[in-house]
Amino acid sequence: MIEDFLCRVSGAGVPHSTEHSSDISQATVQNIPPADMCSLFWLLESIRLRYSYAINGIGVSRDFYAVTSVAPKNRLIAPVEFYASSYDSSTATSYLCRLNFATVYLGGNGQCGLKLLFSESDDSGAINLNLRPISGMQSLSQSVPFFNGTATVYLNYLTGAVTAAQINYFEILLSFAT
Amino acid sequence: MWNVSYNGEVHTFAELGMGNVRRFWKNQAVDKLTFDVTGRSIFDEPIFAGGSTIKIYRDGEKWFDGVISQTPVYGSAKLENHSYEASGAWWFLENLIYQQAWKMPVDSQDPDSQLTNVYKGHVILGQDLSGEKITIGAQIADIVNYAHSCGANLALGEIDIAVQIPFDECKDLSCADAIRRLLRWVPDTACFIDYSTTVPEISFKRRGQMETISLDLLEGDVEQFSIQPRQDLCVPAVVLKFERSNSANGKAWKTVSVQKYPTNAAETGFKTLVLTINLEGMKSTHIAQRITSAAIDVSSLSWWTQHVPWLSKFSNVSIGDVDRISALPHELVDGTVADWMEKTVEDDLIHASVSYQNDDIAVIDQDIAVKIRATDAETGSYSKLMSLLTAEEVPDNLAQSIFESVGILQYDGNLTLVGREVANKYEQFLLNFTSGRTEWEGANATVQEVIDRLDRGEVYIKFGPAKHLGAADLVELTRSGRQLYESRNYGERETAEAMGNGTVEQGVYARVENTLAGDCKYNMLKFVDPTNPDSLIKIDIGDLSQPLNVVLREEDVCESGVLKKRFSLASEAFLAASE
Repeated sequence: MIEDFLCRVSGAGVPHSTEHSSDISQATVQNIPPADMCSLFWLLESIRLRYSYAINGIGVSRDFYAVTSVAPKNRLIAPVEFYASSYDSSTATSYLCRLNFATVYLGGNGQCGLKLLFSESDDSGAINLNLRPISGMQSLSQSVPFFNGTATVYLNYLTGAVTAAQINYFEILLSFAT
Repeated sequence: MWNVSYNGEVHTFAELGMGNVRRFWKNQAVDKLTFDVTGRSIFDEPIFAGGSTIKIYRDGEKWFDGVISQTPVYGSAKLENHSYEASGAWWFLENLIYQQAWKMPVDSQDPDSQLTNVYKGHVILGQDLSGEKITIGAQIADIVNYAHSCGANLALGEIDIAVQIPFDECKDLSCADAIRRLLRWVPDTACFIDYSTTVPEISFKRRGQMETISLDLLEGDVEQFSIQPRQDLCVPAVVLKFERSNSANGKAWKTVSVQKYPTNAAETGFKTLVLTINLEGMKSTHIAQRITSAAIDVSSLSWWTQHVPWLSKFSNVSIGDVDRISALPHELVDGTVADWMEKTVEDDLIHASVSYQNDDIAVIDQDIAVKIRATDAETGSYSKLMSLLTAEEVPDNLAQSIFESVGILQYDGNLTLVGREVANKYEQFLLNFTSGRTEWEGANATVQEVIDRLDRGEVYIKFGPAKHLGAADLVELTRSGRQLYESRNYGERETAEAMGNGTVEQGVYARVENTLAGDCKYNMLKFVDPTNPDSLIKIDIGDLSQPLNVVLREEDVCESGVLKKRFSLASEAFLAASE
């Protein structure tokens, strides 16, 4: 149970101290209503990433959580960052998920955006699973629900090294404090 | 030598067959001449027509001048004659209603229009047109002159009766009645007519003003004589009690003033003539108004608290920026100011800015205004005489005058003189009698009646107090008072205004007070928890370090993770002072 709290926020539902950027193109998740943005900022407890993909016939599945240690009522004064990273030696890949609320992005339509960072790449640099396409690489994309909106996940790969690539599934599951 | 003038022709008595010529004279009555004309059939036309004028001359001097008033005829187997009665000049006075001039507005619908004289049978004896008291002599002169102006063949001769009387208000009196009414106050007055002038002249003389004539009782022409002293009519003192009914502002009271003669006489003596005479008393109407006013002290907090009572609930009250319309020093608190007070009243509007503290909860600036009636009238009772009728004055020396008439021993009697040419008109003299008792030589008897028989040279004289005038005894003497009531209209003759009337002017300006308060301008507002005085909210304009608007502003809040809105009190943004 979270403690009741009340604090002044901006129109985007986040503390005024949060940077408000109008460069919405930097956001990886867009079209977030301010009310959702408020819930995300203040109540989000964890981000669970579950996904599976296959490269050259070899499948990879992940399931991990990005969490923060800052309780909701403390998020006015402490920086809020959800973060998780690891390295899979079996596949020689590293993966990372980071959501930093230091900046919110404001769209012209009154909607908000977040810069959710996710990346999984092998040591050779032949593949890169990301929330944005990478130039110079071939990409597969899949739309992924994110709260009440959507994000797009991209499987970027080098065609010389990768003959077959496939995103089996990709889920972003959010857990909120109650 | 007697002649008669008629229709412009002069004849001797004998030429006209006139005989049994007699003159009847009575004090203050019509003098008459009667005669018969013999040798005339009762069917003959009268020689002297009724209403015609006949004049009798004695040795060329007019002796009688009158109007044929009766023409009876007589007939018997032995005798037929015509009788005639001619009335002297007093006849005009008996047959003319005396009217006095009263001031009346020309326009009957407008009492303020110009006044003009209107003659009325409603008269006030003893008063002239200007409302002043006049003497009996002046009043009689006015009556005689009035009769003369109306065509009476009568003019005023000598008169000197300088006695004032109470105003005597009456209606529709003949001139003769009016004169007799006046002469009741001076019953020793004889009046007689001098026909020797072109227009007969009537004179009035009191006993003390008349010449005396002595008649020798042993002379052969005194055929008969009787005399008695009238001690019974002689009063020891005259006491006049003037009773006045006064009223002022609805309150009535009576006063009595006494005038007596001799001045040391007792009022209660037997035979003392006591007359109660009503005089109009003072009548006045005042209007009074109590005014309460108070100083306008706009610098005084207590003054403002009186007018804006709710200020007393607050502390730290201060008044400033006072401005007012009027400069008058007082305000009307109670009563009304009428024009007759000759005080100024103005509507005043007094503005001020007031700052006050409400139980340490709020400090408020507010514009207030008080509307009052400002005046220069100070507290006190104001009054104005609305109408005043001054009391009728007590006639001077009236008691003495009456005493001079009735306080002196008079002799009553009669005598007949025969065998002498009728010459004197004895009514013009006081009679003394010689060759009798010594006291008769100074009788100074007033002649009251004379009958002259011209053809027989006989004169019958009746002297003494005027019995036929009703003043012969004490009871009759008091009639002067009993028939006299106070004049209630004596103030009207000159002014044409009903007595005692006055327009009551009501007050116009009464107290007015309205308090006007502008919008409150709170400087400090404090909310205190009544159960915990330490728990409070204070909004103090003094906390603003610079001019700023602090207003409710809508803002976004996150409530337990839910985006909401709320209003909060917030100022404009401002730059912090550089340190």
